[in-house]
Amino acid sequence: MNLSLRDFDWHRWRLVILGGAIIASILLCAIFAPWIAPYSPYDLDVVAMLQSPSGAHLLGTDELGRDLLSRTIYAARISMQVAFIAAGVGLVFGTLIGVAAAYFGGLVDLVLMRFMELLFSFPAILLAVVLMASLGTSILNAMIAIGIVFIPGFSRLARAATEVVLREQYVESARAIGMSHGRIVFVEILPNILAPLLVEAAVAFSYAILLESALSFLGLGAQPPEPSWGNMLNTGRGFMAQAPWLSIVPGAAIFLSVLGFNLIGDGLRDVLDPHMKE
Amino acid sequence: MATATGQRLNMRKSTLGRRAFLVSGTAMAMLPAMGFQLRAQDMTPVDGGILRLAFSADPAGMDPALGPSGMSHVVIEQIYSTLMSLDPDAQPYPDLAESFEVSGDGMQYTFMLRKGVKFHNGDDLTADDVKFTFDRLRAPDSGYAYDSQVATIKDVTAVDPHTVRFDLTAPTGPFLTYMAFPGSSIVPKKLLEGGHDLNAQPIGSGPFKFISYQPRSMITFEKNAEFYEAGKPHFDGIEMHLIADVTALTNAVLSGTVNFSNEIPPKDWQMVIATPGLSGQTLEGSRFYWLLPNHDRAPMDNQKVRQAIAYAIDRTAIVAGTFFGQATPILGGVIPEWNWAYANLDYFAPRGDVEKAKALLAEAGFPDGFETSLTMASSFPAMVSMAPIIQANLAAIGIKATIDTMEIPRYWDEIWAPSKFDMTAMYWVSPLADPDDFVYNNYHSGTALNVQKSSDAAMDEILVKAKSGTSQEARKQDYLEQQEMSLEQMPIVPLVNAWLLIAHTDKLKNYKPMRSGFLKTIKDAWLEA
Amino acid sequence: MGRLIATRLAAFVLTLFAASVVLFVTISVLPGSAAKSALGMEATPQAIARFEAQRGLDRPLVVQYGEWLTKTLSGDFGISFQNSVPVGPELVKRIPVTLELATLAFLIANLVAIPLGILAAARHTKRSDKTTTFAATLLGAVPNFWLATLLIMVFSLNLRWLPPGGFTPFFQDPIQNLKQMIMPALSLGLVSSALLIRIMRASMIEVLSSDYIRTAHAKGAAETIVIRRHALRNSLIPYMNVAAVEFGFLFGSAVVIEDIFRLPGVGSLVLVGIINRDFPVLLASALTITVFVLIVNLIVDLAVGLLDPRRITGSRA
Repeated sequence: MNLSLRDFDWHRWRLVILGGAIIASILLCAIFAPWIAPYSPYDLDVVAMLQSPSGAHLLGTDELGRDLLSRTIYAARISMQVAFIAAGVGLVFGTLIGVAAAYFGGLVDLVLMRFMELLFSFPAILLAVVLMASLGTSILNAMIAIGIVFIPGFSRLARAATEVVLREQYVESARAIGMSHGRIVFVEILPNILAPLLVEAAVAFSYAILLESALSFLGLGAQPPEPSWGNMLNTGRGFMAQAPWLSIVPGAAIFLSVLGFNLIGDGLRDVLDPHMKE
Repeated sequence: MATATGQRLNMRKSTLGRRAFLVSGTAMAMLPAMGFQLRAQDMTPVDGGILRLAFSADPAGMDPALGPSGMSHVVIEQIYSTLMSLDPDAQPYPDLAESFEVSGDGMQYTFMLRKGVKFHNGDDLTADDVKFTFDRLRAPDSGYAYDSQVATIKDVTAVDPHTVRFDLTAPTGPFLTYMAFPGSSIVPKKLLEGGHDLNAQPIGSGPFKFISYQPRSMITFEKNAEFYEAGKPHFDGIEMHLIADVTALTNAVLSGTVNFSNEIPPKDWQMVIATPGLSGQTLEGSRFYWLLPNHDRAPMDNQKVRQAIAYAIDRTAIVAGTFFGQATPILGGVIPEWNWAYANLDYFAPRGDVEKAKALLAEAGFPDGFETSLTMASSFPAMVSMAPIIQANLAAIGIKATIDTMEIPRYWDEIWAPSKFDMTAMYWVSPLADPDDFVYNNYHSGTALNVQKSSDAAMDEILVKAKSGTSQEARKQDYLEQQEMSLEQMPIVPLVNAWLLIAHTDKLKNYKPMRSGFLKTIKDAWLEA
Repeated sequence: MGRLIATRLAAFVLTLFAASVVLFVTISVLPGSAAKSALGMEATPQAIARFEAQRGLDRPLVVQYGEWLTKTLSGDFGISFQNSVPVGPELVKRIPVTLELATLAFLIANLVAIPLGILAAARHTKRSDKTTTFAATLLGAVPNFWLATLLIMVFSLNLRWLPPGGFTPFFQDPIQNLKQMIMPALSLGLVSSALLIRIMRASMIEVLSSDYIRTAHAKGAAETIVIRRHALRNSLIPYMNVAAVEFGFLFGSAVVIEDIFRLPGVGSLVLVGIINRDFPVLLASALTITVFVLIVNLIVDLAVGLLDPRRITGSRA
């Protein structure tokens, strides 16, 4: 099959591409931070504190004279890491639970899904905050806590999608010919529930970034002097009058990342489910 | 400090004008305040009005025996009275006591109480209440957090309704200062024996009566019309607004919702005092910030290593970056210049001395430096701010320190209490303003505060000797020796002494800030109409 | 119908009970002792032991939970570790603040979402639809705590029209109360509205393209009447379903917004409880927020069940 650029349905994929471009740039910043950032995020120069954007410091300096642009670029690492791992945790464990619940049914289904519903009834931020306090504040724990917050959502989706697949005949036939549970799950079920899960994953990424920055903002995530958009926004709060850029820049970074993932999620949803085409 | 017998001592002269307590350029900023003090003598007091103060923390309790936190003491100070009190320069003067006598050997203190003092419920305050107060503090299960202050009291005797005698087990230099401590507030014996809960309804003999407490919101007080200092207090009442967030607190001061606060963060100080309608006073007290190297962990157990660290620190950068200029770099012993035990020792270069530090490090056997960690409590903005500065200073001499942070509750449990750190930083606010309180618990081996696990027999000896000295001159000599020793052994690396920053409305007159950080002098101040 | 209510109520109670267990266990294992937080750095081991013994912190979790449950059911929410004052009265005083914030935010969200959603649906596939949808996408990506900060910078610091925080009860001074609540409510409400715009729009589009509506068109009724009378009513039902759940979410987000604007609500009490390791306070406030959310979900479930016996099954937003 010959696919040329002209044949590619740009219009249909436009949201995914736009979102993808944003996220790709942020990812590049995160990965290549040491090469892109003009200064080290830790280089402080107390004399140069709270300077507004200038030639030397394109986005100004913070309260210890560190370059804001560099810190913002490095902070992308934390946000991206947390987003991917937290979403990954939610995806993996949520899918396992949801598929198991739908596949085995009965008591397993009842117990698992009741517990998922229980977790789901806690507001996300509340659950994340309490979990973080319990686990201790660190980036790793933020990933775990946010991942836990995502599990119920993924499990519910995985379960519903698995139920649809289970109704199809080929699963029955597979059982009939003696295929093991494991093979059935991996070969027959998973590939067919992947689509909605991916859409949910994109949404999860964006929500993970929001949650991570909210946690850091509250002082429960990445701790200073480690730069994270959330804790930079929090510190900026104390200097709103003297140095407004400290509050504007990190927030803009969070906004862009969330927007990027949201666009990808929306775009995927449009592409994969033509019935929802507007 | 031991005074002539039988004389009423009035040590309330303002000594602010005589001391040069500020460093370098900010002396100019003090001139308006100093002039303000001089003018205050010829102003007539105005009665009335409500003073609204802002604080960030809730008091943990309002019973002098059970109030462990600083905020508790702020409240206790206004409600209760103590035998002695500290003046703005932290010199003790007789307060509830009209006069006092000290025996020649320093083992017996006799206080002659004022007559006619009443508790807020109308009961008379007599020697029985004093005895009861101290017996209560000394009781084995009292839970009193400062029991070391009353440890040397052998016996308290009510000689007659207005005379109390304390017999000590050993001469105690800071004894009069201990009597000025809020924990030593006199409590009503009759009420307590009747089962009254002082935490819920504090009753004392102080300038203000407790009215109500709304948690995390407000504490209200009204004037004690029968206060034993005639004509005082001048305010009809005071309100303590509890505003947890310092930004909101600063805003409350700026907007006039409150008209007094001593908790303005250094970063907002210039802005606050430049605001029309507000005045500011800065004062050096005893709020020490220092680095604690863990003596149980190599190479922090090496004296030269600790010295190297001490010489490498750029204290000017910390003063500028963390305290926005509102602090004094500690360049020698920690006892500050305004205190009688100050020893003019000049050891550290304000910007640090990289060459000297490197040389020391090489002598210690680490010419190429080493790796270590700096653990900070993330809930203290000052710590978070100074950590990168210290890290950079250490990196300049080859010590690669990683910064670990942890919020306060976990920090106490996991880092502080078990001494699980290579280096950490902490502050020590001394509420007593006696040099013993500045250094004893921090330098003496085996105390709860000595988390750096330093231990030296000579240091212990000199601390005990200085504490139990019977004359101020003798003690001063001892503290000179102690400070020199501390700079030789360097068990703790001193950094800076952060100033007290007090912002209040222009209309507040005759308010003299106290070096101890307390607010006893509120009763002397008034609001202009 | 009776059975529906009964089962839903039973589920509500069970979930509430289970939630309390989860919260209790999670909070009890918070690292960092409550004693040290309350007593400060000079706390002696004896003082700490005394503190813990007095509050029964050294007993097995199950026993502690049982005692907590009994007390709470009789209205005793415990005593704060920090300032030794009963938690109950303070909690009760804070509930109206959070309720006012969530309600105002919800109102704003709907006031924005419903008209815009209808507009976009009516102008489906035209420019104004695309612009509205894109604007909604942008708005939905804004972190509400960033929006809050920006609002404070503009309206408090720059223009000085509004106070940057604090709370005055409505009946004490309605103008000041609204001045203090408008920015918090906007921060929460505007970002929420983004999702709701799209839901309203999608719901309207679905209804507008249904046969029922086409029949009305064919009968010749004017367009606006068609929209107003038939489509709106029908599209509001699935919309309210989602909106009500979003209302529940607002209580969670209130934690951050209350912190920024220093609103003495239940959300900020959660943070106070965490920072101070004040278990009774943390437990009571976290549970209260969860209760709000569960109640909203319960009402939605009941309303949906009652209004539409066919029970459209679908995953919640």
